[in-house]
Amino acid sequence: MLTLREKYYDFDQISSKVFKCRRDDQFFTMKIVSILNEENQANNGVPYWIIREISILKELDHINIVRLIDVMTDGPDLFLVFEYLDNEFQADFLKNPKMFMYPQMKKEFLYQILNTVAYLHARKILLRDLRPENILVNVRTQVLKIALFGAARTFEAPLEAYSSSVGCLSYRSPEVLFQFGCEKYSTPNDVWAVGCIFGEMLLHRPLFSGPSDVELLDEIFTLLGTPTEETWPGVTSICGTCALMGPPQQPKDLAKEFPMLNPDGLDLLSKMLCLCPNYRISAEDAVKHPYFKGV
Amino acid sequence: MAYHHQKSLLDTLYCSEEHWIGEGEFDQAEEEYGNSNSNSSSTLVNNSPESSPHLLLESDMFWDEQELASLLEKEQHNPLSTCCLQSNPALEGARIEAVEWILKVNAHYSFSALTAVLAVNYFDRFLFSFRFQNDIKPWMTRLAAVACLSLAAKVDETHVPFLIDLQQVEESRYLFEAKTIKKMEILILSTLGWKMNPPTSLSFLDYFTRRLGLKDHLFWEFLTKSEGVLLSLIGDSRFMSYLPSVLATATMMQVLKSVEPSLEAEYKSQLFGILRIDKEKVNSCCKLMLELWSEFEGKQCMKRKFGIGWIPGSPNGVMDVSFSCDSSSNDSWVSSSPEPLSKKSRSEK
Repeated sequence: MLTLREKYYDFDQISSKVFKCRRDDQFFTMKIVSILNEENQANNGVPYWIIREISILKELDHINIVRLIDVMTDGPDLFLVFEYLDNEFQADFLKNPKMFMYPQMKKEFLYQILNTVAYLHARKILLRDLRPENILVNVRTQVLKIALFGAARTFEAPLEAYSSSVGCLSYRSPEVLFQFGCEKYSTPNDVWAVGCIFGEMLLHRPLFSGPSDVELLDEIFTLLGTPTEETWPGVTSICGTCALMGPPQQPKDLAKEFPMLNPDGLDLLSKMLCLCPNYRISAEDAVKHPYFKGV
Repeated sequence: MAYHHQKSLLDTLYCSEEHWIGEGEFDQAEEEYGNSNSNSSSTLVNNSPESSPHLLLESDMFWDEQELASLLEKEQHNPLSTCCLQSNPALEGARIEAVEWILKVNAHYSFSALTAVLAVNYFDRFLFSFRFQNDIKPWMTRLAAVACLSLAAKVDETHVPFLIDLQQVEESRYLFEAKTIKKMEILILSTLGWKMNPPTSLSFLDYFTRRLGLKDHLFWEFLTKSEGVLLSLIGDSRFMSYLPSVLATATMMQVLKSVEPSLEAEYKSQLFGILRIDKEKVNSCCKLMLELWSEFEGKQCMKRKFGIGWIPGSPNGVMDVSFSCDSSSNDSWVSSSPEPLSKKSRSEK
């Protein structure tokens, strides 16, 4: 079996743990992860998120997902070899001013995100931490890549109770914030995050930004209204007397909040930001939505 | 240092291992080590109808053709389907002992059925990739079993006991240090090419239950019994030669006889329609299941009234619990597992 130095060469340091390297005239990015150091000893063996991230990435082959090419071990270190992304790819894609030059570009990128999420859900993978910081874009080629699968996990139905403290707070769905149904949540959680990103693309600021669960839920209900048995069956039995519900609020008119959106866009946004996870649109259906006609 | 202009991109893409998931990504670490309740548990699977809320989200029941195609494609690369242990009693004995240990510890910590199935899958793939049949030592297989169960728990569970606690479920001749197990974990991960989400019989059962539209109580009863059956077969190496889809179909057919006999024929034709699977292989698998069951038919049955407080570690013992000896007909040969003496709450994942 080839050693690391035999397989890859021309190492060029990018940051303390990241290198650019070559193999057969092809460039790659190599990330070094120490897994046997003292600091990690308390992690009780190989940390679970490393196992999950690598094993999930090894299965995936999609143009919009950063591709893991190879994993090599050498002593206490793991070497993760990824496809090489040139400097045209920008991290945290919503901070890129060029993103907002053409309305069609937003639609194109939203379509790519939803298409990727649908691909993952069909393979029984929950992303659980989809947010702009984890999305890279090349504005010139209009290609988007989702990176960082540390929070992702595979799932089976019926869903078990998963951690409710997963993902960046601003993009957490109401069912996760509520810990609705004993922390059972599923694919709609990822669709909610895409809805939040869609809103952020349009407003140029996070759609919801409350610093805590309660304040975030209040922001959500201020925009979308307080859930009722009619809009979210079972919600009152879980949180009827819960302080999280707050005083009843009526939903705002999304057409006034998002005047830049056409009726199809408003329909898609409202379906992705549906409070009840059962009624929320699936990623697969969202990709087929009329809003994307012509994409 | 070259490529300074790329630093922000790469810092996002490849965050340092101290914050592998990214700072602020989790409010708290999702995995908790060493917090698992160490009391013995009586169930091999812990999503029984009694312990699971009858809450099925619509998204739980979603299915599509692409998912099945993906599963079928992945299982074709199954390296175990050609394995046969009958010619190597030493290796078969080592495997039986390892599976017995995995099932016992899995039950003790109330891990899911999937954790047990994954652990055995990793163990088998690891064992057969080395082919160290001639030099098999008991400590090697035990170390591999510990590492495989630890890896499976990290993939599927949230609360994972410390490696040292994982080994102390019963008196053992071997007690491995955490660093030794960690090295074995890395060896297993490398050997298996980090492919830790293989298609299992449970993946197909999960798909079938959604595809056939089983609902509520029927859904839970079906899944619980199917998991019980699969776990009872897992220690018998003869079942390794069947692809997960075949084993799942055979299991489903047998459980349907018990759960919904009136719909058995209808579901059976639907199953074969969905899979376009080799009926001969399914029938052969069913036959082997029934043979295995009849081997234990004469043995004393562990009945509910005896209040068994744990699942015996041996595949034979598991079999006794999973299959009822009360039924006179082979048409309803699957019974519910005994009521647990003490139920443990499911860990958050």
